[in-house]
Amino acid sequence: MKITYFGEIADKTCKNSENVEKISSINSLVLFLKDTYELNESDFHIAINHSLLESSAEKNLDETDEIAVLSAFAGG
Amino acid sequence: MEDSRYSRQITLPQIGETGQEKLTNAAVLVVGAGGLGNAVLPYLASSGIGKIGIIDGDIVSKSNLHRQILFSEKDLNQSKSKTATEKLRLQFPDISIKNYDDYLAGENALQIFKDYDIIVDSTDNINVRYLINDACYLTGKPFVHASVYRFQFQIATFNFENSGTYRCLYPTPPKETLSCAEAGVMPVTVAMAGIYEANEVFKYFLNIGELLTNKMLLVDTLNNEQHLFKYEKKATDYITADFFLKEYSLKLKTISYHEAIELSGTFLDVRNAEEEPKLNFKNYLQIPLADLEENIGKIPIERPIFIFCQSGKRTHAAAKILSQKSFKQIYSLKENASEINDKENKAGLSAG
Repeated sequence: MKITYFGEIADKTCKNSENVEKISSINSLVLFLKDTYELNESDFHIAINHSLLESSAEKNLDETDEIAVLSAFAGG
Repeated sequence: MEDSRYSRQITLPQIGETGQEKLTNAAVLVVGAGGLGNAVLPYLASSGIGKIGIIDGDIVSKSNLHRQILFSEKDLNQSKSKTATEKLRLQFPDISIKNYDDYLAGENALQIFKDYDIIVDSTDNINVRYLINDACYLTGKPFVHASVYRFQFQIATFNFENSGTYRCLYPTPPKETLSCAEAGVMPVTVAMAGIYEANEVFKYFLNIGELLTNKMLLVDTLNNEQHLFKYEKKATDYITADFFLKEYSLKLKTISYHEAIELSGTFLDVRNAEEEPKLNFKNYLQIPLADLEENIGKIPIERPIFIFCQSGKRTHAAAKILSQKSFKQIYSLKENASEINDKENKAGLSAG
């Protein structure tokens, strides 16, 4: 599965994207991001196939899903 | 003689004389005259938006000049909103431009917003974005948002015909985030974001194309990719007048320099490092307003804090930030930096 990272999240993961072993659900994805990159759950948002979802959403993930992780930007 | 100033855009079939009249009758408030504001303002003005408001309590610093092209060396330490207004009036004398030399706050937002059709968020502070959002929700105004992180930017239009708000996209502020001052930014990146904002404003008034409602556009300027993210509209009826008052009202106590010395607290200078006069005295701490949230840990929370700046305008914004971070003993110093400098010099002479 491919995960794409944007903004500060890409800086924290030190990568713009990566391919990972299949992650079965949003909940598992959140745990993966917290455990692997020590991300604060309140600071990132997950989009599946370009739709932003609550990190508490109960949704199973498919191999073909496009996963994006991003956060609010502050600058201007 | 026929005025040909707008003839090239009037020629567009989507605009015409009718569209130009809509722009002439339009009123737009731009919150922030920094990087985004400097990009969006000239194009709003040059296209003939009839009334433009500019609100910003900040002053021009040298580090602004590379991307804030309305300002030059001679404008250093001058009001951003006033300087931008004067420059735009010179170039576009046929439109009305009003400046508010103040920071947007709970005390002024609702009143000011009422005088405009649409609000443009050109700030660099996430907490102010929530204030803009909530004030727009209460006054029924749509607002266009842009924000930048290094070579990427986000664009969206909120609160248009019952569409989603900024709180639907981002329900709560992130714990950690970097401003342009910390993260760094290229002038062209913030300029592109501002141009997208102006484009949303024109689509809104001309009723052409498709606004970025219920979706956010994220642009990566390095690889030229654009990503459109949809989000769900959420319940926002909790944003009431009472909620707004509780969230944004701050009764700041004032204290004199001599009274403050007796309390043994921290004198917090929220001016930028290059501003004169330079100060250095007991319990003095300088953290520029733009860097305050990221350096909050440097301020002792258990001691009183006496905030000051050059004119007092940034003090209130700093106090709001500290208040949100659970600081309790917050005071506004009656004296500004130059007055404190005078008092310190006199004290030093007396002691010597």
